[in-house]
Amino acid sequence: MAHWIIDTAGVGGIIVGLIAIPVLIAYVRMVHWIASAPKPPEADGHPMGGGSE
Amino acid sequence: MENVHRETELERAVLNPLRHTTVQFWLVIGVLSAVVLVGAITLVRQWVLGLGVTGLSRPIYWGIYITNFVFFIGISHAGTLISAILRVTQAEWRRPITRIAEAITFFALILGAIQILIDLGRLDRVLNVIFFGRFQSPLLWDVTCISLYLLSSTLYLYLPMIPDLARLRDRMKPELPLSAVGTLKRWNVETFQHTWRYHFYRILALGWHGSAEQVRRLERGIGIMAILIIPIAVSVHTVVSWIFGMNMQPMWHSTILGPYFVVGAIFSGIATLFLFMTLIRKAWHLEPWIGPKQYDYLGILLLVMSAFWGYFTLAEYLTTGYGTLVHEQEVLQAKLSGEYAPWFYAMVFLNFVVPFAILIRRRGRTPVGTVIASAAIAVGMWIERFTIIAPTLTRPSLGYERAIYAPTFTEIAITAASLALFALLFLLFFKIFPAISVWEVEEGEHIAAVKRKAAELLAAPQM
Repeated sequence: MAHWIIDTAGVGGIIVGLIAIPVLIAYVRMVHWIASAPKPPEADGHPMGGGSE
Repeated sequence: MENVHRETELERAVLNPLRHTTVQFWLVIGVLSAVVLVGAITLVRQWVLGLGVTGLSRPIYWGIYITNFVFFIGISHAGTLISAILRVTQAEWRRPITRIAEAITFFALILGAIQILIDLGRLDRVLNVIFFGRFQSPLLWDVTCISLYLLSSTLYLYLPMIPDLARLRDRMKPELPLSAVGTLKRWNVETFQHTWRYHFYRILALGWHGSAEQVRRLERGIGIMAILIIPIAVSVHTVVSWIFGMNMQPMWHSTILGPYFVVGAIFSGIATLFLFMTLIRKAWHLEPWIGPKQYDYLGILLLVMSAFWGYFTLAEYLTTGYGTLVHEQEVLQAKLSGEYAPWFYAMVFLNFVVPFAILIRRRGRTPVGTVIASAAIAVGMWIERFTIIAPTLTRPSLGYERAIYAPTFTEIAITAASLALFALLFLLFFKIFPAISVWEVEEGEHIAAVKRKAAELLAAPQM
């Protein structure tokens, strides 16, 4: 199994993947956390945002 | 529905270039595209005929493509690192320039990575790093660090843009849905563009509504990224230096190379930021927001980095000069009095003498003064990268005959195309996205107004 993984992905692929994939997941979760913030009724027309979405 | 929002002066200035395009802009785009096209044709020719059309040979396996790679990775530190440091230290004057800085990072990194593909000669060989990469190889560390930096820089560019994208979404709400544009009796380009842009901004804005909780989360996310990106950026250029430093080659195998590259990267990065900041300021008429304060403070930072660069250069050359290692002496002499002497003295003049002469006085830290100093530094730092690579490889320590490296038209055309593509992508980006972070500038103005009010209240006589 270990040989198959190294032969298929390569040592470089494993190292890059081990770092890039968790980081990518963490970044996507951060964006989702920001986007999913609750919207109180008075949020419309907030000076920092657009408002009506 | 009529758009009842009344635009502020800042909004109008920042959003107008996104709505209207001048003839001069298209002329610049046309010239840059022509240079890119010539470079692309030359690159295809190189792919077909092989690296024999370049000046590269054995033992000069790296030439101006790797010079460009180090140069682009260096200027990529303009943005994210400078923006992150200024954000972490809460420098208020940073607000109008952070987006420009972050965009420079993004495009410089892409162009840097492309240089490697060009230098390889065969595109498929890039996969060798993945399939046959070795833990011990700095090349693998480099791919890892640059991938991580690109990923982080993209997010760091995107996060502060979300409120502005929502603003654009709301300003561009179309009267017709996208599907209905095609059914119009008379096809209208303007309507289509307007509708297309609205949907584009709507998707990227992620349903931003600007509630207090959402703003808090966004600022927390930006804060985390700002702290995270500083060590990543430092690691990137350190690892780039180790590609050279881990080789037993004269004047490469040195412990100073890591910090020397990082200092050089921040130095060339600030210079590039000055060049593009002034270009956008002039073309987009952003003078009221990008003003004397930015030029003065950033000019001092550039001057400090010039001093650091001079110190590191002196330390590196003096230490080598005092040694008696034959191969190192050969390379050093080639730089000080041999065929690379004009390059070496031009580098010192452009990176040290010119910036000091201009920026030491406050009168010099103006748009004109900083642009002259920055143009000199940009050229000087490219020469610095070249004088690290070429003199060493023409005098290798592995028993090869001394060689000569002369870049061919292919390499020069591809280099010119790379620089043109960098400028082209940068300009097109700011035709779609606002060049100034409107919400951050507004936030800064709000903070300044509150501080003023508080100072007035404290100064008022107590009853």
